[in-house]
Amino acid sequence: MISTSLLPPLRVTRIVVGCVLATLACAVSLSAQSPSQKPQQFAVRAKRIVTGAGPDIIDGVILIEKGKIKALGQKLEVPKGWKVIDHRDRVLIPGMIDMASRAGAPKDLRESAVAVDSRTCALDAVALDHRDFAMLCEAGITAVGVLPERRNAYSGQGCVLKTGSAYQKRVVEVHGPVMMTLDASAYSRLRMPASYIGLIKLHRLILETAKGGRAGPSLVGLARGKRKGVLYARTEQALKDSLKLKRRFDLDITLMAANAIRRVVDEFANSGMRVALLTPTFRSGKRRLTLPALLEKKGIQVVFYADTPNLAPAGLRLGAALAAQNGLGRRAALASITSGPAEALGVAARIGSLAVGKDADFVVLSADPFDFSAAVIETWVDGRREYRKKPNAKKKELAP
Amino acid sequence: MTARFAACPTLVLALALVLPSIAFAQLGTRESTVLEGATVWVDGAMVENAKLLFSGRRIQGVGAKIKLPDGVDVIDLKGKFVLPSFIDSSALIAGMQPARSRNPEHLVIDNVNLYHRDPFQDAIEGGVGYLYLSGAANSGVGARGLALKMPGMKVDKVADLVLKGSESMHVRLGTNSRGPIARLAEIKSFESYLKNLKTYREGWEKYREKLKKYEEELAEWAKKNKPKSKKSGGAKKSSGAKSKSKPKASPRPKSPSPVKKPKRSRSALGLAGLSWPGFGLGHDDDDDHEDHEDHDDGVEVCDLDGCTIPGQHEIHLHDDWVFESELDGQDHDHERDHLPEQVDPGFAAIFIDPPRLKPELSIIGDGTETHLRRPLLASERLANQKRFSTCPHCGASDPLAPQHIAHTNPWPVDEFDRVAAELEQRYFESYRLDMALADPKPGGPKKRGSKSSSKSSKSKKGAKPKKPKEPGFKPALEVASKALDGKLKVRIEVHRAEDILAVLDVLDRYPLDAVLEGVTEGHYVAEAIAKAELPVVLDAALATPIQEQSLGANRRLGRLPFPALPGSSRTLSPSRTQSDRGPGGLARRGIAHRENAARLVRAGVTVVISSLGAGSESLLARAASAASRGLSRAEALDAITRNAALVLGVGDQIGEFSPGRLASFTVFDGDPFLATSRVEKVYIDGKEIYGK
Repeated sequence: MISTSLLPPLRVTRIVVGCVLATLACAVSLSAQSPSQKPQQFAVRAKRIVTGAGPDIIDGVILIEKGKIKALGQKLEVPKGWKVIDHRDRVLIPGMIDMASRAGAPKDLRESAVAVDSRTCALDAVALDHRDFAMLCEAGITAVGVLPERRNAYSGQGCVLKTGSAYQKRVVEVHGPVMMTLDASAYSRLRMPASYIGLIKLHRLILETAKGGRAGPSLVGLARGKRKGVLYARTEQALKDSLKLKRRFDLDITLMAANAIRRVVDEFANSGMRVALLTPTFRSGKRRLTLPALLEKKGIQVVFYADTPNLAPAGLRLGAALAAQNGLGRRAALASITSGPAEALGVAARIGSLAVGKDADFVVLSADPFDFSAAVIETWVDGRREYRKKPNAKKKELAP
Repeated sequence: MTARFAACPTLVLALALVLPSIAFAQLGTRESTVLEGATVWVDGAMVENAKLLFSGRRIQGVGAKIKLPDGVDVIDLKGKFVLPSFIDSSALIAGMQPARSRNPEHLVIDNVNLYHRDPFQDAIEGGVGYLYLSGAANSGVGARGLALKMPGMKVDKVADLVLKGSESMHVRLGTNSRGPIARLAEIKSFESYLKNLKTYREGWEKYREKLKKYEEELAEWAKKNKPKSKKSGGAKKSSGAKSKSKPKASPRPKSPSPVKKPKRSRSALGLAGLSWPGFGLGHDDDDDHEDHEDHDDGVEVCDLDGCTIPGQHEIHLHDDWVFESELDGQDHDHERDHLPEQVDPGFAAIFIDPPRLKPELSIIGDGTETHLRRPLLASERLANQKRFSTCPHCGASDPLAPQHIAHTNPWPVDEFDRVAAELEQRYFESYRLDMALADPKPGGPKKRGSKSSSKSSKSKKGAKPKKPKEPGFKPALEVASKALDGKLKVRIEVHRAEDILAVLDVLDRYPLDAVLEGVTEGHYVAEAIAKAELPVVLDAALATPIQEQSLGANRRLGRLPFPALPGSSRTLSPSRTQSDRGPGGLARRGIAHRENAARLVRAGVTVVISSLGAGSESLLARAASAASRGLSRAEALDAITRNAALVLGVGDQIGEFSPGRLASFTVFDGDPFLATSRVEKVYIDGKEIYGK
């Protein structure tokens, strides 16, 4: 019901139900801080705008029209009649993206009946009006990828969703990246493939068939390099094999859970492979904290995912900051939670950085994004203010 | 500088005594050092372009405008940030085993490997100058923890690194049990532990009082009985007949010297370390001394423990050494159990086995028996240890071979026989007299140590006053009972709100110098903690607000979620920490809140942020991330410097910059809250221990 309501409603009943749901969602999740009557055209001023696409803009202004960025720059004339939201002492960054989340999908994302499952959509498991989405805004996350779990060689397609309260506009991409697995979880004695070599064979077979056009659209797109893929590979052997697959079929894939890559990192140097790592925490060891910096040094793009809301949403930015503390470059650290995930999910044209024509998804922070003490002040999704921090009464702020 | 030194020559003296090499260097041209141009954390604010002047170990002055002495060594730190060394109030050095001890007598420091450099290095690179090593056990009472300063390049022993006065006892409650009832029991058992401590302490206090009284009575008694006989020994001998209840009055061992506080060796090692003056078998030192002086024969009493062969010395026998023997007692209770229940009142026997050199002598009679022991001989010790191979002197391979005994044995076997025989004789005499005077109860032999007889002897006028019985000495309780009067701090790790309230309740009855640790659900009961004026040590972990999962957990645990506090918003929804994944995690830790630290601070609690054993290098990041969740930056820094020092009991030494405190600080190359800033230099006690 919910997913079909995305389509233009044709029947009256559908409209009615949609309206009821919308009211309910608003009433339930955001009654306290409902977004202010959103103006269609407005400007946001900040001390520093970290665009993620180019150099930072000091004392910058962003012009927003109908949920999209119309213009941004240092000395920008704000057209007459436009409302100006002033954050002169604050920093504005692109909305963060958690590329592997379970937001809105408290139920199982696991479908393991067949080995190759190209038609399963993670979106079908998502409750679009779930309160997780409003909660993620508090940590400055404006979009998430929800991926099916790895239980088979191909476990279906992920989806990309916006956070915030407006569930009708939630879906960014229904047909997100294809999930692939080179992992012990994808083979079992109960069904084919039964072993690792069988799994590798299956991958080759499927990709070859799909390249010839004889498979579901998601696999055909993947094999022809038009769809993104996410590949679970844990062991060194699986990592090496994933590199072979990528080279042979020219896949655009992101490796997940690839902590073993440290041992084979030289083979991956400048291979164009993206690596997604679970965001490190305070408890992470030195090896895990320094891995992103090592990958950056070898020319491998690093992306973080936080597995929200299973883990803390605030852990996404914190993890990037901890990686930066352990040697990851500032630019790479920012990309790892904004543009990197957008690229891995195949939605970089719309979100992930601040540029003209892109969605007006951004976060206002009290300080630099990699200042550990920086707090999220406001979160904007599609030009709507979805979260606003309550002012702290007794707080005496330290002069920087 | 010179002026200051002239003003306080004692300081110079102290420095010269403590650190001769440094003090010597100071007396030269370079007396003190000043950091210039840096942004310095002073009195809860970042002061730009400030100076920090220190000399030797101590800070001399700090601020934007301070007067510099002549010949000062200047370090230019333009654009850098200088902060006091951070203090991790609950750390576990990586690679160090957790204490796992349940005995507060144990000190966690014995677990530290100074040669394992990396963990220290990691902590230093995170700007941490002091680590408190936790002694927490899995649950209940643990070992004692203490704080160390970071070692520099060369350290001789761990003891040099210890922050004096930082030691505290650990208690962990409600973390290791499954259900609510078990958790309740854990807190109850903590309370009964405290009760035990109190009983133990009171037992000793009462004993000391009684002992004092006894000494007074004894002196009075001695005064009264003096004219009758010159020798106290003689007096005792003659009075031996009168004091009919003597053998029964003290069948159990007597206390050691009343003035001396008992040492551990006595109870733990039994006889091995006891002196045996003049065969007196560990008789009271005072009495012995008296005897020495009163011995008009001029016979010297020799100490056999020193392994001198008595030779012409006469072995002196105290008249009452059988009964005053303190030597064994509780340790031999089990031996007593082997004796037949019914012993013929007329029977007394001395078991001696000289050829096998059993160092034991038992006297049985009247259902009581007394063990006497002399110290083990070297040969016997070896035999006991079963490590004896070949004697280098006599070539014997058996430690009990006669020729070996002959040259190692300071104890002539004949002498022992003779003494035993004499003893037997005396025992029979006194026993018969006793029997004659006593009014035997019909129906069998008297029970040993019957209370009625001892009471009658006590009430009897003119009798020698009875020495009070010493309560057992227990090292663990002795250490832990210091906590009762605040001489030892107590760290109580407790997480859930109801547990916290229960602990506060216990602390109401037992006012300890307590610090709460963990306090995951402190946000629910912040006011109560503030009212109890207890500081808390948090790990300030992130919390995930997943209402459903937390509520599910609540259902599983069979408890209702706490009602939201007044004025709460969505951000106050129940949540859990990252570290609570896995079975039992949530049950143990409870429901975390991301603004836990902030709530506690707002309620007026002294909050300390620590790594709780998970990587000291990220301590500042932890505190700073708490600053992103409701704390101010100043409060966050206080939580790892000033408050942490206060909680460790070294608030007057470290934790902030002010004259007189130790010059321990960290130099950052940028804003310390930024992830991209790096630690450049670390100074501990005025010495650079790390530098890029």
